Amino acid sequence: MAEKKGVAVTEKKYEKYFLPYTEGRTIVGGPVIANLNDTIMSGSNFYFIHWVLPSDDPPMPVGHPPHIHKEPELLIHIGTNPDDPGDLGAEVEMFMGPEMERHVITRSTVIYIPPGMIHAPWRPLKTTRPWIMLQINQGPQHTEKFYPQLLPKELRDQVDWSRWQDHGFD
Amino acid sequence: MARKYEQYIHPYTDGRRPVGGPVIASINGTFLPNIKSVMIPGSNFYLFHWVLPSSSPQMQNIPLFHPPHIHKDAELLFHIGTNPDDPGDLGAEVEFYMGEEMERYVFNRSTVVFIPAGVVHSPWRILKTVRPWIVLQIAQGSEHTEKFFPELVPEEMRDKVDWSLWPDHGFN
Repeated sequence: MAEKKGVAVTEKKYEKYFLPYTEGRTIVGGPVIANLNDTIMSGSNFYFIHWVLPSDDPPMPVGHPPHIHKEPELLIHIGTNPDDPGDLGAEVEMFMGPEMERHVITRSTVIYIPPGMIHAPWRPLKTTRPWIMLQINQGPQHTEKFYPQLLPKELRDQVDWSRWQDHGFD
Repeated sequence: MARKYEQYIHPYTDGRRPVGGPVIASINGTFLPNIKSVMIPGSNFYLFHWVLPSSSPQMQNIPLFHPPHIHKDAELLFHIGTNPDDPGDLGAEVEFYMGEEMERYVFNRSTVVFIPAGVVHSPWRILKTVRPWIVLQIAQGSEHTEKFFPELVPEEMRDKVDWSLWPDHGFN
């Protein structure tokens, strides 16, 4: 019987479709759980899942700056209290549209973003219980184009723009 | 004041328990009789739910939970443990079969299973759960489709299945 880090198999034909946790990276202060796209698994859309750990303060001063994607995006905020699955254990700020409409969520919440619709900054304001963030782009690769001009100058100047580069838009 | 973009934000409103654990979110799940889905044009099918320690015995009492089947679109099954100090620890043991050969896998780590369109898979069964964990079921298409293959199940097991629970859908 072959072994693959936590997966016991009797044959190996389909083993390539099993991706056990092998991460160790952190983002926004929490461990990455899974990262998938068409390069990693042919035929897969883009999925990125990570923990967000307790913090009294926002882990990002401005947050993910305003941007668009070519494909629909879903941002799934999942609280980890099974006795109250709606309790996110956190407060998250999200801006929608070129008008920068502000929303603050404290419940487990799905945000659907149509292709080409400006959204963000996104940032956790406070976290009292670890929760799980699932980022989905319904296309084979992540695409992103930023709109720095939508941020007020005092915020724009706080962003390290080398971290936020357009990709997938030629 | 009207909030132009509120239509895209769907807070948790659930409380249903498909396999012993609460649903977190269901999007475009029209085929699920006991689960009210949020319908989002443009979105794929998504079903996220908890699995609790008490779920495992319930599932073991269902003969052949989720019989072998295919989908028209690729499917992903994310099995996510809820220990942030060890994200790879699933806190459970899951059995899964792949292919017409019924290749058996058992895993106890947080694991993504990718199932290409048209590849036979299942049964999927929770053997044991020691800590609540989360399943993300994703179809890379706007609606869930499913066609079952009872002939792959040994006859003595096939006769124990209530096939009315497992109707084909989306395959005409």
